[in-house]
Amino acid sequence: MGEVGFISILIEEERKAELIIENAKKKAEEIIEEAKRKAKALIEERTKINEDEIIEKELKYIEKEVEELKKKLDTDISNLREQINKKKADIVNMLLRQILLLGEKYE
Amino acid sequence: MSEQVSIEEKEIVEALLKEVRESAQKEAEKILKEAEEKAKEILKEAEARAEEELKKKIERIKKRVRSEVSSKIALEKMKIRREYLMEKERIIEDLLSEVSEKIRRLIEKDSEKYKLCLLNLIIEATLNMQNEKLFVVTTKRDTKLVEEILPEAEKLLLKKYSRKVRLRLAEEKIEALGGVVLRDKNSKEIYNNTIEARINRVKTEVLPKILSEIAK
Repeated sequence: MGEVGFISILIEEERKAELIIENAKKKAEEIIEEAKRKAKALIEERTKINEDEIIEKELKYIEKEVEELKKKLDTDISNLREQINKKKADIVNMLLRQILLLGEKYE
Repeated sequence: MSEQVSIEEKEIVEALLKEVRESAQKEAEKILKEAEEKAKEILKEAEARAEEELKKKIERIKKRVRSEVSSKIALEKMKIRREYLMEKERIIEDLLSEVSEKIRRLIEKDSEKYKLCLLNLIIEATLNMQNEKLFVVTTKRDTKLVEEILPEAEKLLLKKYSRKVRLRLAEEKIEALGGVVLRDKNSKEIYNNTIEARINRVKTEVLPKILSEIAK
């Protein structure tokens, strides 16, 4: 093999190598572009919402909140009434002592 | 000799060519691997962004709904709280009306106890006043009882509290369930110790504590 032959073979091989790298770069760009396209589609798909459904759900939640407040206060009142009835005699005596200033003498 | 050199040259060329090929292959693989990793990262970021955007969208709608119905909800909640307070007030009033009834019965049936009560009410009122000359206003019904009590009250105030006070029965009368009102000569200093005033004091000062205690 002469020097000229060797160099031309080497140049040819380097050209092929450059082509391989060039193709890889193109493929890489395609991969990234595809990923960007998929990302865009994914965002569009996953951020799709049914506004009416959310509004309805939120209104129901608010309604439930109001109902729960009513339920809580109704329970509070019912507990208060129950506790007062249970301890009524003591409470009345305590109040009588405070009002009449009869201290422990009043029973 | 020349043939041997040619074989060596061929081997060197082959090795060089192999290295060029392999190096290009490796570089290409590296480029593709990096691209795939970047693609994965892009998709991962997109998932996070989608989740965040979805949350924001939903929050915006919820906020809009709340602001649109906020005055209606506030009104509704206020109505519920008002009903609660009214019911609580009814319970308190029932309790106090029972207390008033017991007091009424005590006044009617146990004049000794009521007399002691009047004495204590006069002493407490005096201790809360600055004047040394006070007029005791009472109901028409209790006039006689109070008149009897006043000397005893003066004595007790001096003995127990070192207060030398002159207590006199006022000419005017009050309409009340019972108890007394003490005033100085010009009615500048007044202490209301009628049963009604004491019930009101108990209602605002003592009952809330009792109610919160029993609610625990």
